[in-house]
Amino acid sequence: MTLVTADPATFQGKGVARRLMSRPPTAIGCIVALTIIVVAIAAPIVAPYAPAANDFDAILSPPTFAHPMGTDELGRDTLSRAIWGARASMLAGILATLLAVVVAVPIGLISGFYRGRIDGLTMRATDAMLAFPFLIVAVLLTAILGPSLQNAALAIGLVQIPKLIRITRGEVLGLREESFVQAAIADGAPDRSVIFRHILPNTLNVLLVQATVVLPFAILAEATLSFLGLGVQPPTPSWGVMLTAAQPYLGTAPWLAIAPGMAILLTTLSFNLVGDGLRDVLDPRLDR
Amino acid sequence: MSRYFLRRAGESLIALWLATIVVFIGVRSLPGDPAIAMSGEGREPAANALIRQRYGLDEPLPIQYLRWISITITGDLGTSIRTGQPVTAEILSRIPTTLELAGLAGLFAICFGLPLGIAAAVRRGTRLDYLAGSVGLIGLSIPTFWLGIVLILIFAVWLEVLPASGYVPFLEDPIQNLERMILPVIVLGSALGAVLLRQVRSGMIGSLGSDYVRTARAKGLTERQVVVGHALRNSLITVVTILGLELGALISGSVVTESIFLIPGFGRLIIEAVSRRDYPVIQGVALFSAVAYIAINFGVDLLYSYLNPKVRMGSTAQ
Amino acid sequence: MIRSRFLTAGLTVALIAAAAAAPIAAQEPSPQRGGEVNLSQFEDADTLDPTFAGTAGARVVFINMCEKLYDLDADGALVPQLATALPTVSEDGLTVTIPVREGVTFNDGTPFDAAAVVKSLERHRTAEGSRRTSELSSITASAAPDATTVVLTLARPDAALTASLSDRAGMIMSPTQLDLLGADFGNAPVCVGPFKFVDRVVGDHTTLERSEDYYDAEHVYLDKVIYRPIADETVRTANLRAGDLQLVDRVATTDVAALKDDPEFVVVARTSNAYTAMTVNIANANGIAGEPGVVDDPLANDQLRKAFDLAIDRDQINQLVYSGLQVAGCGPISPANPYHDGVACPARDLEGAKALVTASGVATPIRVELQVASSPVNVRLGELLQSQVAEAGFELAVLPLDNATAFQNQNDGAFDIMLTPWSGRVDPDANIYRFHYSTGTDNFPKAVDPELDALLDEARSVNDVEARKALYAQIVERVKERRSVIYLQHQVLYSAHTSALQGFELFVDGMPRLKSVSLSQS
Repeated sequence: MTLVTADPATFQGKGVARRLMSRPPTAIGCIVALTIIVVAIAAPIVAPYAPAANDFDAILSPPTFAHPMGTDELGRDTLSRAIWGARASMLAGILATLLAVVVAVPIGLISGFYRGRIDGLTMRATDAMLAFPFLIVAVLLTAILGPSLQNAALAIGLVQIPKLIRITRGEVLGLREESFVQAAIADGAPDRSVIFRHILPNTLNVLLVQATVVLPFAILAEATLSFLGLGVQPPTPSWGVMLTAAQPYLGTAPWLAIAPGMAILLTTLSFNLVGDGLRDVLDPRLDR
Repeated sequence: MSRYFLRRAGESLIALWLATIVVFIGVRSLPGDPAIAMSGEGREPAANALIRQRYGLDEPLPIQYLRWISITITGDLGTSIRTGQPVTAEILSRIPTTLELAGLAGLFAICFGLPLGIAAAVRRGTRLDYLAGSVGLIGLSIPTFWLGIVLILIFAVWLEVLPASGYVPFLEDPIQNLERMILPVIVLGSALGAVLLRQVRSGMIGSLGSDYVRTARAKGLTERQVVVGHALRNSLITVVTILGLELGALISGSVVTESIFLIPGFGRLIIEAVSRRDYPVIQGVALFSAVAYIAINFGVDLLYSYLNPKVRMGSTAQ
Repeated sequence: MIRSRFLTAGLTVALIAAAAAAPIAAQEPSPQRGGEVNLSQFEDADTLDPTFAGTAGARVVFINMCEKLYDLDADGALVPQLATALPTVSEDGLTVTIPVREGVTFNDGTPFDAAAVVKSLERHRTAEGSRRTSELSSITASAAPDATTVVLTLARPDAALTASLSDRAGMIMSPTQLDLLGADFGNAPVCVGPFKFVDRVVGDHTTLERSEDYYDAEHVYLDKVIYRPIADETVRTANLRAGDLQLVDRVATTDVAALKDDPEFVVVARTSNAYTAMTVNIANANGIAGEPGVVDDPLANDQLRKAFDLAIDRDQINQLVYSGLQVAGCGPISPANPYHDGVACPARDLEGAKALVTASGVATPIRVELQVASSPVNVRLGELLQSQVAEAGFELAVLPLDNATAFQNQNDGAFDIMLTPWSGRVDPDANIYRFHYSTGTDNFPKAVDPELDALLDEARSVNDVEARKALYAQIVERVKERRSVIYLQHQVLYSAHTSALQGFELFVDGMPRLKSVSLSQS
């Protein structure tokens, strides 16, 4: 076995991007995902109407030129609400991912690097956390803290933490045995340096892929929480809230459900496509 | 072997104890008093005070916790504030329903995900692969409750070929029972099937390209022997692993599915109990699922360690 | 020419007469026996014990299995059921005599008599944990001097007593079963009723079957009645459409139009005593049981509260939130109730609202939070209110909560303004006293008005209907002016059933009575 003295390059920005875009499904996914993100950020500019603007002359109207996706029971434009809804869903997903990453990665790093008793304790704690299915945690949490976008994101993020700890830890355990890490330790580098300069950058692949998994989950989870009445505060639209509100009108005004339904489908699809592509490109070995 | 067993058992017990604390704190943090929550419009202060007294709700929290733990250890999960029936009995009466739903959903997921995943891997890059991939992606991207509502609308309301809701116990009328399970099973099993499909496919692709398989092919074994003999066995292991990991998702999914299809199962019990603030039931249910999960994990770990002695050394156990 | 025209006319008339006569003749086949009806309960029962039951869901089951001393007719007038006549009240109002039926048996064969009535009444009155105590609070003793007479002794004249005896407080339970099960009566309740209890799985179903012991059994046609609690109104309708239910007790207003158009179903409507209102926190600083205090709620200010009320457009709410199918209201008594004062609700007065806001001197936008029990309808209502009151300078936040939290907040005074529906009672006292009396059990605003208290006490003890009407006119006027509760609408109840169901009539209390209902088997 040869002694490798340099880290294998992991993130070669441009190379990755090029390889991603070379596959049609992934390319489409990237474009759609980026479009949705841009739309979410630029909602105030892109949306033709304000999300709470009532047009009392056009109640429950089917798609027309003035309202391409129809209006709801209070005369609000469905298309605009769907665009603003992107914000809520994106925000929920980003907050949840941030929470999960900020909490789980350091714990996973420490646990995997030091092993021993710390690792054992962490594993028991994650066992205990994993024992609670997402919905039970979410229902309890939103009942305690009150229903809101932040609390929904909190619940979603909390549920991702044990999984992310496990994944990070797994990677660290493996990386720790790699020759370049062993070399660094043998050289007498301080633990902190080994972790941050050698191990962490190599876990980024996996974390990035996980991030693209969290967002679709967050969107679906927010929709489900809204369905159960634990959603976002009115009149802020979120796709889940729109879907739930469209339910009584399925027979009479089906277009109310199409916009948020399609939005959810497109967003989760595109992010899943990107995730798949990233996984294939960054590390074909990964089959999580 | 026995040292490992003892160690794992000890760790599981600690996890369990942590779980009870989390459950208790979580439940008692819920705003809203059970007596008020359950009396609806019939608010009668004297009656509510009596309920609080009877269930020890006015005592300090640590005392209530100890009281609960002491009876829980004996297997008694307390009495439901709403019905006055033992919580254990209520849970046990609902578990078989959810087990049937989850079991059938798992079966559906396997029947749908496994063959498609294998076929996609074997015919990688073809139209079949893309089709299977799309089906998998879409299955992952639809909210469960949405799928349920749409299917009810199509099959029960418009076409009137299937019932919209309800549950008949299997022993009472097997045909009705299964008929009412068709839509819920499809709804619950779709997401899981999609996950299985994708995992099986990528797992198969990996092992089809592995050294072992290349050697087997070089030796002259037919494609079928290669696929069935080696790759398939690996994918079955993947299936089992995934099913274990996704157990929590299955319970979450059953909550929503049971709510839509009005199935009196374990998942719906959780929602109802939280809504009524029926503390003993919520605690019992949360604890029950934690115990089930930890016990299953413990069993799986033991099984793995039996099959693979390296794991016992605790190096890469995940 | 003329003769042929006469002939044509004569033929036409004859044809029309025949056509008119035919359906009339066809409408009177004798009801067929048999069949089972699955119906929805909009909420599940808490317990099936009339002494301890608090939910409306329990009343829905009781109405078919547990008869009471008095009942309502379809329009809400009190009629005797297990009693044989309306009660006779003594001059001083302190003795009430009720004649009860003879030759009646409970559904377990036990003979019904005045002693059994007394046993049930005493249990309702005095059992530990009973939820009927305040309804029967005026009674000090009950006795059965003979098998068909019950005499009640009161501590004060009580005009609302008969109405209380037409609900759970008047339900008579089998003494044999009470002796057998005691506090567990609710597990296997036995009363006098067209149907008797068979079994119940909490959260799933309750089954009743026809009782052969019932005194009027020949007019009961259904074999079985199965209740299914379904909280989601859209799911109820879906089940009706799919044929899994034959009757839906509460239909969402959004489904009414489509069901009416469908020849397979029949929709029935009835204006009830139920209402939707908003309760304002005026002085609830220490909880419902504590003393009134100062609260940080902009609407505690009288002028702002009135401005808020004036800025509401009740007709628009009815149109947009309830598809125009409810009745806009501004007081606690429904137009379907004989005590209604006949005063129409004022139209929206935005200018007046703005003027009051300016006069109050409080800077706009005025931040107020409306708490609602989470449901699509309530959220719709909240959002519409948001846009309505915004025009007067209020910035309304809407917070959807689950029921338990909402109830708790009400109790603790942890709210600015909260959406509070009430399922309605026949007697105006039961619709007003507990909410507006200074120490009322449901006076969540903690509003105090000694003059109103005096009027309320008087109105509940005066037995003369005309005098009571005059008193309630005064009371309602004060309530409307005070606005501790801002009333939005009186509820019109909608039920729907398959056209195969015959003989169903919707009563003012919304309870689905199935005694004389039959299923045509064709």
